Amino acid sequence: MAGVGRHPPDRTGSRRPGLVWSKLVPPAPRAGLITRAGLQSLLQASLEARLCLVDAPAGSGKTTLLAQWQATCGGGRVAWVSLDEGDNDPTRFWVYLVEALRTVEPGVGTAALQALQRTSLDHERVVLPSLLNDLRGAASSLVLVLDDYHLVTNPTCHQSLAHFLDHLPVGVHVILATRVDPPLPLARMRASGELTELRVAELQFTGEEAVALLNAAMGLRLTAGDVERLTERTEGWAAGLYLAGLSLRGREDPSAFIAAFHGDNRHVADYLATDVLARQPSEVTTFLLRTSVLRRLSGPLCDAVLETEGSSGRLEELERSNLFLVPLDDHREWYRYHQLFGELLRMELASREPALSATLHRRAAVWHRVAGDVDEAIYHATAAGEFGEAGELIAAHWLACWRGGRGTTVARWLEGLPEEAIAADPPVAFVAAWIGGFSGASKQEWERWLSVAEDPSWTGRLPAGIRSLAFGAALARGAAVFDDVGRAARSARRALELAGPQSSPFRWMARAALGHALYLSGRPAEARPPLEELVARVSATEQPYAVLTGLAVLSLLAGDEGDDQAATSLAARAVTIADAQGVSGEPLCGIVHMALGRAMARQGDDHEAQVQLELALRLFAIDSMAVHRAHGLLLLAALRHGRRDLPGARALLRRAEELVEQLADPGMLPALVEQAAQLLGAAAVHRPGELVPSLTERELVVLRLLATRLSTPEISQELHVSVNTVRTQVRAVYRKLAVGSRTEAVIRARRLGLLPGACSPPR
Amino acid sequence: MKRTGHSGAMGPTVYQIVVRGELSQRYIAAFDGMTLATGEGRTAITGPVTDQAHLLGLLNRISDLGLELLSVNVLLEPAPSA
Repeated sequence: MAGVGRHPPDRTGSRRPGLVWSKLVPPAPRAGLITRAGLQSLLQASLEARLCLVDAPAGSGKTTLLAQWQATCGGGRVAWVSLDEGDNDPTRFWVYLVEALRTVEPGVGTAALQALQRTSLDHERVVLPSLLNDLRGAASSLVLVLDDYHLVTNPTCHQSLAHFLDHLPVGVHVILATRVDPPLPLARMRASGELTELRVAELQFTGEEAVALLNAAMGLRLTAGDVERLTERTEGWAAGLYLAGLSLRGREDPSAFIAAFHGDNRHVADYLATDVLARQPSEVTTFLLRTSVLRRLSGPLCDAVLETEGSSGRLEELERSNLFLVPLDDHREWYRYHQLFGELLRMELASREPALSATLHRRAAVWHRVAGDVDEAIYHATAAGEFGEAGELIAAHWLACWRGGRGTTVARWLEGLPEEAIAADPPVAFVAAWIGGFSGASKQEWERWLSVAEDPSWTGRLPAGIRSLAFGAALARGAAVFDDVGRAARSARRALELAGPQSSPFRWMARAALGHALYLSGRPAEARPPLEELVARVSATEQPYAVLTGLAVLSLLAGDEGDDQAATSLAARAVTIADAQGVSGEPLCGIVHMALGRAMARQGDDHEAQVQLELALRLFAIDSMAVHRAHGLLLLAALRHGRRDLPGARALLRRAEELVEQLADPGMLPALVEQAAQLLGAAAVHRPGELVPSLTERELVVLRLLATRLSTPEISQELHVSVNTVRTQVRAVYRKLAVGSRTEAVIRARRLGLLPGACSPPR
Repeated sequence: MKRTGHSGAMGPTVYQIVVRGELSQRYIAAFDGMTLATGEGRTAITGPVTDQAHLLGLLNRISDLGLELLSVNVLLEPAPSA
């Protein structure tokens, strides 16, 4: 029963589809359990600190403790979220947290929710400030409980939560129930008294508590010695004690059983679960085992999965007679298995009826699909091995997810599919390439999925938002540059041709990709028109990524022509939009920060320029943004040079050079690298009287080719030798010329007369 | 999408994970591809592990099942590639 004063989760208020509001309802305290008064006072006292960590292994009674505490001491001021793996999506994570807080303080987080609904990905800057501000105005103290925090593994979630904890207003407390120490600044919080902990030592049942559980609550009549033996054997582990209690119900000679159990080496849960299951009527066992594949259970769902009737009644009965089932709401409509017992049941099912799991999952997938639970449907379809079905759902729902800032969810769906399944499903391969291309996939993987997507013989359904797979693949190739600027430009052009006149969510992205690629190719006059058109005609709310890219590249173009004012204003516009749309934390927005950084450097604001450029480089850290990264390194090198940090600048230049060497088609970057080298005077000075080093014939040939724009692979092709051979020769050339890079080698060689063309004086 | 290991080595590494308590063979279903050997109040879960993600997945299962982790060791390194 919800505490007095709690508002039921506002189902109608939130327009967000798929909010499972049962996650926001604290579990009702169960009959047949004891109240652990000692622990409850510890909990109550721990609320002096901002964060209370309840951190112990599965089955230690954490949720039970918190649920009981909430019901008795919560005073209606406890917000609750039962977390699951899906909450690793930062957007979804914060939606649930905000909605939970709203059950206690209805006005809180309105602006935050709006920001989250608008593809917000930079939560620290866009979502949290307004939320924290709202909380400051809370009527009285409140507590936010996050149960099963160990299921959250996404570093973005941890970072944003740490930020939230750091700025928590007085009177707001957080309790994390977890099985694993979370990667939050615990040491710091411990030291400053901001953290209290209840760990396994505190949660172990004492002898007295064991007596109260077994004899009073579970109605057994064990001797003190027996209870002591049980407590010892289970080490006070709540789940073990409870299973032991179930095992002992109705036994004639409990002491004998306990003695045998005590002397046995088997794992507590293994031993007892086998026993408890064996003592159930067979139809109960069958029900338990077969429904264990479900993450959430309801009467109708169980009926469908077991092809039977009357499951609602059976669920209620089971809930009354033991603790394996946890009700998820007040109406007894939805349940789930207690995590530990569910695992044991699934293992037993796999052991008894291995072939049945797939069938059960398949039926569950069908039921959830009809009910519109996309996430559950995909989970069960994948678990059933029905990869075609899962693929169909992914292809249909990926776009809404990605645009809604929940790309992580799509990535999770894809993770569940074996590679062979994706390789056999062109629309899904497209989604995998698209999502992967902007989140760190290697070029090899990305190419693999794109070639599957381009299968000309595919005549089946298409991914949402994509009119033809040829268009989709061309767009992907145009937008994710990786190491080939020329290919990106050609593919973006092709995507535009294929898009035709119809409107599509992605048509403007093709223009943005084209303009960007043309800019990187060193063709500014051609780059402008598509970008100017896009910026003039498209609203940022509809097509944030396209408009941002357009503005950012136009800013870079303006800067190149010396129009610093225009460069600054265009970059500033881009950043404002990025912040408003909450996308400034995405790799696709690195270009915005780079443009702003460069504009600020020109305006003399070196400090902010450095911040922006470093942020851009962090966002560009994925394979698909290698070209952008090299560009960013060069801009940062110029900045360091401007701040009289010559060694720093040269180190950055070297990194940029090494990166550019590896790129198949680096576009205009080699020219920029050479400019930077001139600027930094990177060549070693030729002291008069120094001997000219003698290079072999082969080395001279390689040296001449180093002076061209050919990449190392292209040089090796030119010379009909292996890349490794060329690399060895290049190293020898560097050694003989006492230089460390290609540009230095060329400059030095010219000075020494080994190459035609004297080096022009540094600007 | 499962990423292949980037070590370039031939074959997976063989790990042995020891937990407290002797587990029945039913637990094999939970540790796909591994063998279970029990004795002296412990169980050794042994088998090939593809990569770190796989290893961490096994450790997560151990936590999910309420098992107490005692040790994790490499039994056999794969042969390096030529």
